[in-house]
Amino acid sequence: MTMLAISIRPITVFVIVVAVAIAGVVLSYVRKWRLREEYSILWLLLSAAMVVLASFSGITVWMADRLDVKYPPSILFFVGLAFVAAMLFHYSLEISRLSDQSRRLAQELSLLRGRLETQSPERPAEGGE
Amino acid sequence: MSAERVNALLIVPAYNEEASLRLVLQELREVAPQFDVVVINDGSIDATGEIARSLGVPVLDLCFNLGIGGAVQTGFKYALQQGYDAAVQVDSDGQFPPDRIASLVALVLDEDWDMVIGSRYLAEPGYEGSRVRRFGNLILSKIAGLFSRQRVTDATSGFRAYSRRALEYLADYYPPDYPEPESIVFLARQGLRIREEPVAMRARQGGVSSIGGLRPLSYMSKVSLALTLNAFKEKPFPTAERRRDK
Repeated sequence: MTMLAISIRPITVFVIVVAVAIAGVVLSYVRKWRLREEYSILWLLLSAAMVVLASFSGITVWMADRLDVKYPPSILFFVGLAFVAAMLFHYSLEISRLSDQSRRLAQELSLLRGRLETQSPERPAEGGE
Repeated sequence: MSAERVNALLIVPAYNEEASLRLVLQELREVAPQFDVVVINDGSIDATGEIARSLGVPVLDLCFNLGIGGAVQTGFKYALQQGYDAAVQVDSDGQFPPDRIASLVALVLDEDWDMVIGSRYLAEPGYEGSRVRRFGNLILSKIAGLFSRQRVTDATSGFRAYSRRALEYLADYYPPDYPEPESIVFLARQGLRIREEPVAMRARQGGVSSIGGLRPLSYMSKVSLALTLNAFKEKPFPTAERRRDK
């Protein structure tokens, strides 16, 4: 019951404003086709988590208590870092996939170009058409 | 051409090698005229491509630099498409002795080896070169030997002949960065037949080595890690399965 008690302090308001701003920016990029939905979901989850943790400070205190953490806000740092690490790992995966794909594309392109070159060894006459 | 044509392709990867490429290609034409040659121009910014074309050698231009692994792999794919029975990687620094190409290819075509590595350390007199480099090669060869369950003396040699079976596998799986030691393990794990052949290398004819100074050490640690991680990787898909997306 204390865990879900809403405590409105200046910091709560501040965090909620920031979280809403993040969500707004993310959604606006999705609207402009510049951010794919699958990536937006993670960021929207982050802003949602910020709102929840800021509004119900009891959650943090409860977690700190269960995990025997002396300083409850450090739970927030941990959650934040874990999120950033997960995001970075996700990007490493994406980069591996993309570099593999771009290598295959470059190879495919050079092979096709080579085939074109052998099919038409003569350059077309200049100014012909 | 006097010599009878052999259905094997010489793959010459070249990245900014205008200083040595002409000599290398001319020597290949003289000493190994029975083979077709392809130059893989790995996004060079100098006259590498023009030089090869002016000598009438087919060139595959990569639109950006892929590194030695990606470049050589392009040659593997080309060899398969063009129906060659074997391919030889011939680095464009002119350190390999081209008169040995025929003997490496003969081992592949006549004796059914899948990969024949020209080893500098089996040759008499043994290969000189900086101590750091020799040490690095020794360690990598031991590790590659361990994982491929056979004796390897020159895991980093870039002078190798491959069978079509080996090419089919490597066209799909070839490490992009430092491919030589790893590819030995890849092929050994596929159950392909690998052997080394003593080959005396010469001094570089131009250009700069991609591995100099203390770089051999960082190269060695990266490749050792890659080799070790390979042992834990899932067995890659059989080649036929991968062919679907071709």
